[in-house]
This record gives sequence, structure tokens and C-alpha cells, in this order.
Amino acid sequence: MLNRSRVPSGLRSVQLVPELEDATTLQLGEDFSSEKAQPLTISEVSILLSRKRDMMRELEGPRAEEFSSVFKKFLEYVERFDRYKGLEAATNVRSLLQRYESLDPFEMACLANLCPADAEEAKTIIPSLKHKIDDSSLNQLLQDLASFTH
Amino acid sequence: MGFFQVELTKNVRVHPRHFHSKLKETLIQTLMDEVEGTVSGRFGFVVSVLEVLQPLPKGILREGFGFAIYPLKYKALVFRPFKGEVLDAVVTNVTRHGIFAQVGPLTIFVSRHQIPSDMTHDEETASYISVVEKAERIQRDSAIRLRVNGIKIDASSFTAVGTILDDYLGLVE
Repeated sequence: MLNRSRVPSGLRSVQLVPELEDATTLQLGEDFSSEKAQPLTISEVSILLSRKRDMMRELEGPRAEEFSSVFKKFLEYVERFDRYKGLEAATNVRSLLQRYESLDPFEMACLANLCPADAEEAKTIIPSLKHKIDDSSLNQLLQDLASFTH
Repeated sequence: MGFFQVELTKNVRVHPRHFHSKLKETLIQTLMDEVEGTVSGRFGFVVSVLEVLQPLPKGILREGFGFAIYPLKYKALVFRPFKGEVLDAVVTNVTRHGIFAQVGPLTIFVSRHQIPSDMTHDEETASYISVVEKAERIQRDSAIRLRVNGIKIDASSFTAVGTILDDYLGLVE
């Protein structure tokens, strides 16, 4: 039996339950529920990070290149996988997705980031979409998304 | 998928030498220095502080110490991986045991058993080559679309494993 008085106090109330999380059924845990967290598309992240980088560069002195390695690596990642490139395209993509109210914000970000070619692919890689949207609406959405890609 | 905007709180401790007109800037800079680039099991990688919520709270003086603590609320851009999600990743290493790929600083391992059997490991070129389509080759710097199969979280980092077995996964670009 676990002797609670011997468990370090910082660990007593830890509730990390990754086993219960499952993106395929949109179980993201309480911290990432749609009320608490807004999923962002890679294009949006790319805009945020490049703005930050530009702001940092404007500062003179030692602060100018002091990015964490986490920041640098994600900046590189989003630059490579950003499909829409630029504020206008990213905004158009966001507006387009918001029109589909039956979709969860997480699903919207997945669709934008992965850009599946058709409804079958979309429903295979994002299984939570399956009974939420009919194929012809989804195909229309995907075609419209593709029109914004660069 | 992966990237989220969340609201977090942090108690920022400030030495009395900063109790002057530039306190606000010091607070924000200290917050950024302390949280950006960190990783936690709960919120993932804190990539960037986006906004510190105004108005800033009043500082609470620590009795006997002189420091003030400011419980700052801020919006942050985080990256948090989830089991089951499909992501694009960049291959960094290929061995006969499998493929190592990165999403930013997160390493995801795709074991040999999670790679289609019609792909063979070529030792010489450190790649996996499709027997069906010779041009299809996974090697360092290739982009692969994988599904995260499992995430192990401890207090300060993640390890992840993935698969490229299912339909629509594998080499992209």
C-alpha cells in the first residue's frame, strides 16, 4: 500500500493521464478542451513566430539572437510545412474553416495542416470527422482549402 | 493539431532593485525568460509568450524577503502532442530498427514494425526504399506523415512513438 506521507509532496496531486487521451475521438483532456485552448494552424503559428523573430531582431544588443532552441526548431518546422504562406491566405483559411460549425476547432486545424486530397483521406486520417460531415460538403471544403495553398 | 493558444499563470519573482518605472517591462521580460523554451508534461513545449493579460496584477511582497511576487496571467503558444493525431515530421535518422523523425524539438520514433513491410532498409544509403516503387525512399530530411501511437510523459519532457503503416501515411512532399 502506498504510504502517502513518503510520496514527495509535488507528486501527490499530479494527474497525468496520457492513456486516456486520444485525438481520434477528440479526447484531449481538460487543459486542451475547446473552452480552454485554441488550436492554431501551422500558417498562423508561422506568422506569430516570424513576427516575434522580427521583433527580437529589432532590439539591439545581446537579446537580438537569444532564441531558445525550442523556438528555433519550431520556426524551422512551420516554415517547411506552412502550406498557405502569408497573412491573407492564413486568414482566408481560418474564415473558411469557421463556416463549418459542425467541426471541432481541433479538426479544423488538422484539415488545414494536413490538406487531405479528398473526403476519404480526410476521414481516414482524422477519424473523428466520420459522422460529422457528409462527403460532398467535405470535398467542397477541401477543394476550397486547396485553392489557398501556395 | 499540436499547436495551441492557452492561458497560463506564472508567479514571477522580482527583486526590489526593479521597483521603478521600468517594472512592467522587467516583469514581461522575466516571464519570457522563465517560460519560453520550457517543456512540461501538462502543457507541452512553451514556444512563445503571446500576450500578458492587462492590467498587471499587484505584486505581493514576501514578508522578510523584500521580493515581490506577481501572479501573471498570459497567453502562450504551446505545442502539445496527442496520441492518435497525424502529423508531418522530418526524418533525422534511419537505422534498421526504425526511423527517427522530428516535429520541431520533439523526437518521434517509428519502429521497423511500424513501417510497411514492402519497404526495405538499405544500409548503404541509410534509407527505407519501397520494393514496389524504387523512387519512394525515406532518408534523412525526408518528410513523413505519421500517426502518433503513444506518448510517454514525465514531468519535463516527452518521448513519442509513431506509425506509418496505415493508409495515407508515409512519405509526403
